[in-house]
Amino acid sequence: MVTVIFIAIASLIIASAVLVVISREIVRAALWLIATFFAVGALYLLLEAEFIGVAQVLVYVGAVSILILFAIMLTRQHERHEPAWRAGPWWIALAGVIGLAAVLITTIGAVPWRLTDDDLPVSRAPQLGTALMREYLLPFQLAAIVLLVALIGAVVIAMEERRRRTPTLADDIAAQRGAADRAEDGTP
Amino acid sequence: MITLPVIDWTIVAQLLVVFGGATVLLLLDLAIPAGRKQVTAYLALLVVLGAAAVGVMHAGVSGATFGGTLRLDPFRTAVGLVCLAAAALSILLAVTFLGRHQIERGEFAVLVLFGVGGMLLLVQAADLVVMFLSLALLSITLYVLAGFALPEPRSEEAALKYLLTGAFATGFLVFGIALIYGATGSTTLATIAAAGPGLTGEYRLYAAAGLLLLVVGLGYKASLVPFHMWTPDVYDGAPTPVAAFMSVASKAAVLAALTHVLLVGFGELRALWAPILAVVAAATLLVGNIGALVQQNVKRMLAYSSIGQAGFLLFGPIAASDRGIDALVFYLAGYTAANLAAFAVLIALEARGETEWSMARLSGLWQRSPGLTLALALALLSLAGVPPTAGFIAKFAMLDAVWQAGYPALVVLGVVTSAIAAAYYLRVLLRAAGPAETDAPPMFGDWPLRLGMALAALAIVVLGLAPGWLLSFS
Repeated sequence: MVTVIFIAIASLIIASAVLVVISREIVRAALWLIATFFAVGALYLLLEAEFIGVAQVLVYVGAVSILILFAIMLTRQHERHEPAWRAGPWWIALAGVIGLAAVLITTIGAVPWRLTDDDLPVSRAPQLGTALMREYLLPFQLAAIVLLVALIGAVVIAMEERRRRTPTLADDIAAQRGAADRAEDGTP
Repeated sequence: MITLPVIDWTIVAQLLVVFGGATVLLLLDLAIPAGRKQVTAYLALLVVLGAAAVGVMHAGVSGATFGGTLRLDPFRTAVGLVCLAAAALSILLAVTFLGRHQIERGEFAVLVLFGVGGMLLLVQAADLVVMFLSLALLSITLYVLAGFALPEPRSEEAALKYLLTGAFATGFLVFGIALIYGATGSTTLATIAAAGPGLTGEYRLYAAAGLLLLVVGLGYKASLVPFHMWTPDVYDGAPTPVAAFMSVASKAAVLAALTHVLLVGFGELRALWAPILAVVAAATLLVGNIGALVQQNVKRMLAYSSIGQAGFLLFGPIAASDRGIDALVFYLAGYTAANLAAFAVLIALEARGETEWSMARLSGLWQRSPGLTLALALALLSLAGVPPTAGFIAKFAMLDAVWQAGYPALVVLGVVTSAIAAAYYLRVLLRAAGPAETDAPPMFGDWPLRLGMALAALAIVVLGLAPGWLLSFS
């Protein structure tokens, strides 16, 4: 039964991952990526790691994918041509992928994994919570400070940009790109 | 009911002062009106001095807490004090600079406090996860500080370059930690060291690969060659006090962390890492000093010179002896004083809107301000290692340490590159002593800047004439 579910989830992951690569429309690729993240979350649930499964959905499906979509939305007006990464011949990419897969598969086969039939000690949310409050109390607190500083930094940079609107690097690049586009349009 | 682990408060006291102070200051800053943000900077200075006082009070304390992930010993206390001194001097140098450049904001001092807190943690960490998080903390602070002059395109470029390459380097660090954890089953340095001799076959290989990845991640932050490319661009683009702070304090903290990883965690693999680090140190010395030789921009020259100095700093862990550790602390102290004094002179001569820090602007400085020239001369002579400055003793102690450890080639290279370094430092001094070439640029001599410069210059002389007290301390 577990094997059947695993095969179903695994084929979902592989199919959506392939679709990420072969979609011609970047928004569709992003949406397939979200589907991949979701299926990986299901895989974690199958491994009885509920917390990681939920965290995967919250962080990757919830936050990272939104970030990707925002990035596409904000940069889209610049790309009117085919994306450059499509330009190379497909068989080079295929050879690279097969090479990487060969390395990974031989590595995984060669490693003497320390497999155990016992339940691993920390996998559930309560154990994770206790560990965070005990062994990992210092890293936990530190992560809070890192996030606070990142927040302050983001505010400093974003507010600053709004307050004094003088040409920024991004504006310069946009201006240069505009000039380059105009020059390109002018040539026969 | 969760029982919290028992915490040794004497060990975390210094960190509590810094982080508590930073958090309170962040809120207090809201009540300080926009034109009076200097108050925030002076309050931050008080916090740094308070933390330094705690450090001096606990000078002899040794111990660990948080399950051995945080440690305090005389070496850690000493490097922490160097970081705090660098933060205090950088705040003094920045107070009026920020107002002059119309980038005065309360968050500056708060970010410096968080940054120096991250550095203290990095120095005191005895666990790879804590090291990674503290490195992330100090990196994020420095990314934002590098871009603090934001509408200025150069500052923006510096911040973006630093962020992108820094994030890439952090990846190496995480992969390294993961491999080490996979091989040894722990992230705590003491446990890794204990697991070391029992590792066989692939596990030994994974641990070694993890260590090398870790060296890449830390080497990036310490701007060791070949991970140094970002340094000139970032120092050049960042606001000058930020470049000053970055060039000394983060280097000190990262070098201390690298020393702990190599000597405590992987002392057993010394036969592997010592030759690699010796080659890295040699490349760093050569690239840094030869790169500095051809610079016309003073800030870029100081950036390359700081790369060269990082090569010397690496002699400490390579020597892997008490002598090397003492020399490392002394070198860090001397380098911090000298580099901050050199940057202070640049700050005193930098008006708003200057984009290129051309060497011609220093010409004729002697006629206009003998005081500034004197500070510059002390700083550069110390960086070059000319007696009786701190730099001479520091270089001598380092060369002695690697000589004892059996690396005569490094000693020769250290001497040769010091001679190259002397050439470009003297070139700047000759310019300063010579006739003026351009219209005299404005000079700024407000008291915080003068005080910071004077303290740094004093430290160069005192450490050079009476090095004993610092060496006995560590």
